[in-house]
Amino acid sequence: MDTETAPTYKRFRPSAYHPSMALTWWMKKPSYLLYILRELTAVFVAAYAIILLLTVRALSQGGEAWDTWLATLQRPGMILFHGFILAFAVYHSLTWFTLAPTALVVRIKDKVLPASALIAVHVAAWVGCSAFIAWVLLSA
Amino acid sequence: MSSSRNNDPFWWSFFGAGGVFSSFFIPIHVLLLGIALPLAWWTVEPETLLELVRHPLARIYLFMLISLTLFHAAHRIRFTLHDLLLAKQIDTPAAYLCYTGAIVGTVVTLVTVWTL
Repeated sequence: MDTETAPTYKRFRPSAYHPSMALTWWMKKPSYLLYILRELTAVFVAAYAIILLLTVRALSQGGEAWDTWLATLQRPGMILFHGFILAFAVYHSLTWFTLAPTALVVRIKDKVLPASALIAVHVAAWVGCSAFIAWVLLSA
Repeated sequence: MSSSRNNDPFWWSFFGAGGVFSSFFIPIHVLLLGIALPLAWWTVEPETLLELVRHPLARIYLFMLISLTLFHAAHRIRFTLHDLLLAKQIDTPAAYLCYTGAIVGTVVTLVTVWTL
């Protein structure tokens, strides 16, 4: 075969085939962007796990440590950051519940619980858990 | 006999458990402790809150919530780095970095809730 005239011929040489993908692939379709936003919820959720840990630590140190930490939380930038965390955390919850039917199949007497019912159960449990935590904290 | 050297199912189980825990419980904590309390929509004495978190069930709850959330996020961030940077060689260092972070966070959380 004359390879000189067709040096870039790759059809039967998979090793020479390198598909190129732009680093901006996630901007090309709304669904890609939503996927990346869903994955990025992890950054905000992790940030809050650390903030919650710092809150518990400040509580245990008490007195001045708690006042300093509360003052930090009261800074406008921190309130704004918590607004972002809340938005991403809620997005994480909703996307997690809508994923649940792909990971979980519930059978009741040989009948499979429909996906919409499973999502509804998760949302109801979410409301219940939130109400319980709010009740515990607000009635303390 | 086949043997698998893939650790993904192990980490995935923590990712799943953390996903469930954080999706049910994180938003209400952000709203109450991160927004409502600093803005004084409700007020509480720190001594009262401390008494509350010292309850054995509260300690277990806080430990599980924080630790599992960290493992959930570590797993997700690991694969998102891979997806965003499109570099296969980043996966191993990213995995070590993310899971080590979650393990360190878990140890710190354990000490914190133990010594409240």
